[in-house]
Order: sequence, then C-alpha cells, then structure tokens
Amino acid sequence: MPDVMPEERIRAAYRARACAAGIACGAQIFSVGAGLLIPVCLNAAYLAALPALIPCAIVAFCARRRLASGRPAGCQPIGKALLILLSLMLLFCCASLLCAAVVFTQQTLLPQAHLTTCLMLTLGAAFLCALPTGTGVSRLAFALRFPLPCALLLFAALSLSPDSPTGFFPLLGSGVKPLMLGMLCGLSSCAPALILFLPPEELTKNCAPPAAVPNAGFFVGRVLAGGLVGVLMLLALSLCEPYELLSEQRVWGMRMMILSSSRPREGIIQTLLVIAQLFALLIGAVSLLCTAAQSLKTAFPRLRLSLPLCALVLLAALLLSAEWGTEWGLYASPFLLIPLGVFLLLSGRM
Amino acid sequence: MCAVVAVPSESPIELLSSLEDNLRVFRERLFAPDNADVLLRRFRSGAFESALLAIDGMTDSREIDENILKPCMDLPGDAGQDIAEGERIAFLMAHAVSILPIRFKTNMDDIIADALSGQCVLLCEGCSVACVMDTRGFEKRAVGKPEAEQVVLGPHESFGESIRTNITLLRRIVQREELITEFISVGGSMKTRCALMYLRGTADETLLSRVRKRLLSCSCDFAMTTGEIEQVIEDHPFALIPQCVHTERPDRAASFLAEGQIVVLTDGSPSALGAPATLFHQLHTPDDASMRWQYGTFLRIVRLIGMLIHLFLPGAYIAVLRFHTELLSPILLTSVYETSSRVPTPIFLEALLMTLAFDLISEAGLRAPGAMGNALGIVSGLILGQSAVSADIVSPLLLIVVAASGLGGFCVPSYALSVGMKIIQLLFITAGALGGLYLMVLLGLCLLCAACAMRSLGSPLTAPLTPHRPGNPDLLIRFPLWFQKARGFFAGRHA
Repeated sequence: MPDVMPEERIRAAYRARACAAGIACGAQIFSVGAGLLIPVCLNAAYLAALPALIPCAIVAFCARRRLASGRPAGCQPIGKALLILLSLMLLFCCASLLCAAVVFTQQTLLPQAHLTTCLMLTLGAAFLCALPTGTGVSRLAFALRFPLPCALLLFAALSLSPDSPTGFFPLLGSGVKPLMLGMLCGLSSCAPALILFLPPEELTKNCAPPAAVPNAGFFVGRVLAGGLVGVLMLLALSLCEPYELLSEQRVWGMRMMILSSSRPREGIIQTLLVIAQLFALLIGAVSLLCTAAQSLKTAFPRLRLSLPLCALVLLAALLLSAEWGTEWGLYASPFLLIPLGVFLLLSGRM
Repeated sequence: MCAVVAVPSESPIELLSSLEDNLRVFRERLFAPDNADVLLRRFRSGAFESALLAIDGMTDSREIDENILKPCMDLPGDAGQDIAEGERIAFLMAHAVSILPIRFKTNMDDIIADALSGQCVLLCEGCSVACVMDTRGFEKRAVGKPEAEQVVLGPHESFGESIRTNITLLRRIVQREELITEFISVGGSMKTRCALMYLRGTADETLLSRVRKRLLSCSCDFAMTTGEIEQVIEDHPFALIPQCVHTERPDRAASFLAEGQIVVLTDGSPSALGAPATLFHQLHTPDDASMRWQYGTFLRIVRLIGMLIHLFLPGAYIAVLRFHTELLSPILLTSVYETSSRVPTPIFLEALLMTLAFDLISEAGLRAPGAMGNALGIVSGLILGQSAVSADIVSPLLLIVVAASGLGGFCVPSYALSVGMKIIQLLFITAGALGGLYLMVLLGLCLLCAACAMRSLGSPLTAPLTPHRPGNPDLLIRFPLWFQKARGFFAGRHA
C-alpha cells in the first residue's frame, strides 16, 4: 500500500507547533498587557497591545520562509550563535510567563502561598511536562485550540455586567502619548512566535522536505488567532474593571484578574476563568521551555542535557525573581525587541 | 491460512532416523514413564514400525483411534516395503491417515511443544521427519455471554478459553480472504501459543513487524494471558493509561481488524487484545455503534461527564473546602463546617479513607461469588455508609461526593482504564489537599502533556484528535453512518 500520509503527518506536527506558538503569544500579550500596559494606558491597554500582532505575523512569516528553505540550522558558527540567542530569548519569555502564572495564582487561588514555593512548584511542573518530549505540549495546544479560547472568552463574557460598556471610555485611556508608549512596549510580546523557527521535535530526526511545510498564511493565521485572544482578554479586563480602579491596582497578579461580584455563582465562573488563564499561561511557558531546549540541542547536537540546562537557567531566574521581585522580567521585556530584531535580520544565516 | 512462526531454540535437536533413538529422547524430555500423561504407542504399520506420541486428556482419543491408529494398523503386512525409509511418513499420510490439519516437522523442541498443546505426533522407523496432526480434544467452555462488556443492542457472544474457538468466532464475522492468522509461541520455559490476526493490506506492515518483534523478544519466563502479552508489547510500561484495548466480544475484535489493528489471542484467555489503540478506543463501547448516532453521542457525553466527575470531584471538593471557601455560599459553608466539626479526621484523610473504602467495596463485590457480590455492595454501601454518617465518622456531603465520583467511575467502559483513573483520582485528591486548585491544574497539565506524548506501538495515543489525522467523525460526537466513509484509522498509514 502506498504510504500517502507522511505529508499529512508533517502538516499535523507543524499545525500543533503553530497552535502552541499562538497560545504562547496570546499568553505573553495578556501578561505583558496586564503587567506593563495597564499602568501606562489604563483601559486602552488592549489598543496598545493590538500592534503587537503585526510583529507576530512578521515573525511567523520569517519563520515559515526559514523552514521552507530546508537548510539545517546551526551548521555555521553564526548559526550556532543565533540558536543560543533564540534559546535565551525563549527562556526569558518562559520565565516571564511562569512569573505571571505564579503572581496570578498568588492573587487568586493561593493568596497564602509562599512565592518561592509557588515558583518552584510551577517550574517543576513545567519541567515534568517538557520531560517526555516537547511534542506532548504542542499536541495539547492543538487539542485545546478551540476549547481554551472559547472557555476564556465565554467565562470572560459571563463576567461582564450590563454597565460594562462604560469601561470603553475614555477611549484612549490616559492619553495619546502613553498609548504610543504602551504600543512600543507591547511590541516585544511577539517574541514567543520565535518557536516557529525550529521544526517540530518529532520531525527533527527525519527532516521534513521543504514542500511539506505549510504555507505562510497557515503560520500567520495561527499566531494571530492566539494573539487576538490575548488582546480580547485585555479588552475584557478593561470592560470588567472600573476605570478608576485600574489605576489603583499596584499588583501585577491582581491586574490580571477579571473582577466580578462576590456572589458564589460568579465566583465559580471567575475560578473557572482563572483556571483557563493559568492553563494558557502554563502551556505557553512549557512550549517555550521545550523549544529553548530544542534550540540548544540543535546548536550542540552532542548536548544531552539541554532541557535540564534550560531548567537550571530558569531556576536561577526564578530564584532571582523571588528575591528581587517578579516584575523585573516585565520591565525588561520591551528591550527584547533589540535581540529580536537582530535575530530576524540574521535569521537567513541560521 | 495459517503460517507458523517458531521461536528459535537455543539448542535445536533434530529428529534422528532411528525410531528407538527418537522415542528415547522423547521419553527423557517428557519424563516418561514417571509422567503418566505421556502416551507413547508403538505399532506396526505395514512393513515398518511406527509410533504415536500424545498427551492424555489433551487429544481426542476417538479421532486418533479411528483416523490414525486403525487405518495404519490395518495396512497389509507388505505395504510400504518398497518405499524409501525417508518417505515412509508421507506414505502413511497418503494411504492411511485421514486427518486434515497436518504438518511435517523435524525439530524436537517444536514437536514436543506441539504435543504439549494437544496435537499428536506420528513417527516412523528410519524416517527423520515427524507428522504433527491436530487432534486436540480437550474439554472447554461453551461460547457464553460477555461479562464485562454487556450491551443492550448488538450480539451477546463472547470469547472463550480455547484459542481455536476464538479464531473461529472471529472468522465467522470477518469472512475475507485477507484475514491472516499467525501463531507465535511466547515465553521462556512455559510457552504460550498466541495468534496474531490481521487483515493483509489493511494492517500496517510496520506495526505488524513491531508486534512480532516484541513478542518474539519477550524475555519473561511465561506470559500466559492477553494482559501479560499487553505488558510485553506496550510502549510505556510505567504509564497509568493502557495502550492496548481488551475485548471479550468477537464483534468488537472484528471491528479492530477492520480498522487496521492487530488482534492478539492467547490460548487460555477469554479476551482479545487490540493493538495499537488510541485513547478513544478505551472510551467507546460496542453499544455506540449499534445505536442511532444521536443516542450514541448522548451516551458518550454522559460517560465523559461521569469520567470527569470521577477524576476531579473529590479533589476539587477538598481543594474548595481547604483553600477556596469563597466559592461556597455562607449557608452551605456553615452546614459543611457544622458536619465536618464533628468528624475526628482531617478532610484529606477522611476523603482518602472514604475513596479507599469505596474501592474496597467495589473490589469485594467483584470477587464475591455471583449474587453475593450484589448483596455485599448494597450492605456495605447503604448500611456502612449510613452508620458512618450517624457515628460522625464521615460527613454526609463527602459521602455524596465519593458516591457520585464512584458512580462516575463505573461509566468508564474499559476496566484497565478505570483502574488507572482511580490512581489518577487519588493523585488529584492529594494535589487538591496540598495545593488546592492550583496544584490540581499543574497535575492536570502534566498528565495531559504526558498523555499527548504517549504512543501505542508507535502511533500517537491521542490521535486522531491530536495530532490531527483525517478519519471518520467518530470521537466524542458520533456522526451518522453515511459520514463515516474513511477506511480504518490504522489502515496502513499511521504508524
């Protein structure tokens, strides 16, 4: 019987990877939006986050072009350097998402938990998820490509009250200048889309022919869909929370929470929403961790402990976060644009 | 069509041309005459001597008498005197023996294995080839009703312990020339006869060779049941989710064949093993296909809800009471605390004990004979539960939670999966008690990632949901039959 399936198998693997990238982008846009853009732009944070979708699309397009070229990555010294850079950028995003998940948990599900314990637990879980292969989390992202955004949007919609539309105003939040600044800061949220630069893990042993790589629209569409959910969640935040209250919220984790009334029925919906948000943040973080390890492994094929090495780097970063505060990654994230730009410019030589 | 794949012996001994020498070896190997079951009968067949080797009780003695011994002994005294010594056995087959399934063998190990499986062996003086004839005639259970896979609609026939009968049951349903049966002996000192059944052209050759290789390289001393064979061929021995699917229904095994799966039958096991399998094989029941698609879909959704309740409800209950009390209304919370305050144990321990008690009752009901099992369940469930609440040993709300969760567990169609889910339920209870909903989320994520990364004989366990594979719309929602045009999911393409 002629084997007609490999192309479909390869397509399915890329599709799963693209979904993981989409969820990671959405999670990053939401966490950076809640952490960095809300204090600057207030209820117009979703507008400030919207332009981040453009670099998301550009990164996805460049990644597709790189994959379609069919050249193996990391053959030249500059290629190796770029792979290390990629790994570091992904680890940075991963640490940022893990911190976001933990601070969010501390403000919602476990207010009495110790930060370091929470961070270590989360890192341990992320490591365990990534341990078998990176394939598992990509496939999970693919399986949840409709249920997760639907659950997020549904629970967020259920939290809205009849007077929520007032949250739209003032339309430009705290003004045009802060909005512009917020847009600039939010651009780096596209960094998780970099995971598309590497082929799915299950295909690396048997390198896929370039013809089998799905078209650019496919990659761009998946990433934009994921990113758009992040933007819509920011919009839900603006609509749910009174404008005056947004400026008062000092804690990052608190800003990610969509407020609802204290009635138990709404509390249950809110808890379900928090669980869905956590799932998105964690899936994004695990996808980034797996791809960071894969990037390191591609750069140094003899390196057997790429995943534990990445986990160690994360451990160090999270311990520093526990010591100095979890927001450091948030404030540093706009500067990610510089290595990101360098990477994109040189990605042809990877 | 039957093909024979013999396990290569470490020191194969070939048959000798001297009948006396051969019989001496057989006597030594089978410990005759100490072993009273070994039948070694020498007799004159025409111009030369022959002998018959069989195991008493395993063979149909009437068939041996009428179709082998009598015709051979009735041959005239000069019959076969002009035949070359090496051709004597073929001469007897052509002129005396009237049994259809015969095979010629020269290897002592193979011959002894065949004799032990109930076949009889004919040997001739001067001939270094033996003829193995299928004269099995041991007692066996009649084809009965399935015990673990009962259905409302659909056939009520189940596999028995005889591998031959089981193959026949399958062949009666799948009447196609492509249906192949291969026999493989698995195990070390105590070999078990396994039948590998598949549809040639539908089953994937890569999967097939993978199963053969794993069965032949089985290093354990004996693997007697399909459950043990499953452990030999599975990809992830430490996983909590089964990677092959068991069935005691021939119609379900036939559907596996049609899907391109390989069915493994073992002698002495009243169930078939379907491999590779996806997670959805564990969640579907034969009833789903027999009913109209709306009913099948509805029942699947009910089962899924039952499974979710089974997995998460006790853990979520503990998590809510320990960490997220804001989710309960003040009235309910007061009531819960009021009843919990009289219970001497912490809620985690209470839930753990209750869950284990439920499993204890369920296991005892399963092992207790017949009607006593049902009575045991009712007595334990009603009387003990009521007494425990009255004595303030457990809170009534927890009793409801554990009972609902246990009920959900009975919705799982696969027994193996239900045991795995019980273990996962305990993990969720522990996670809920230690870290509330957050730890449950982390645990759920780990388990989901592990499940998505798992494979069954190299095929993704969660396919065709993820990774996506084109196939019939028959996962959670079962679409009408006319939508299901694709060939079987494993039909030669998904290895």
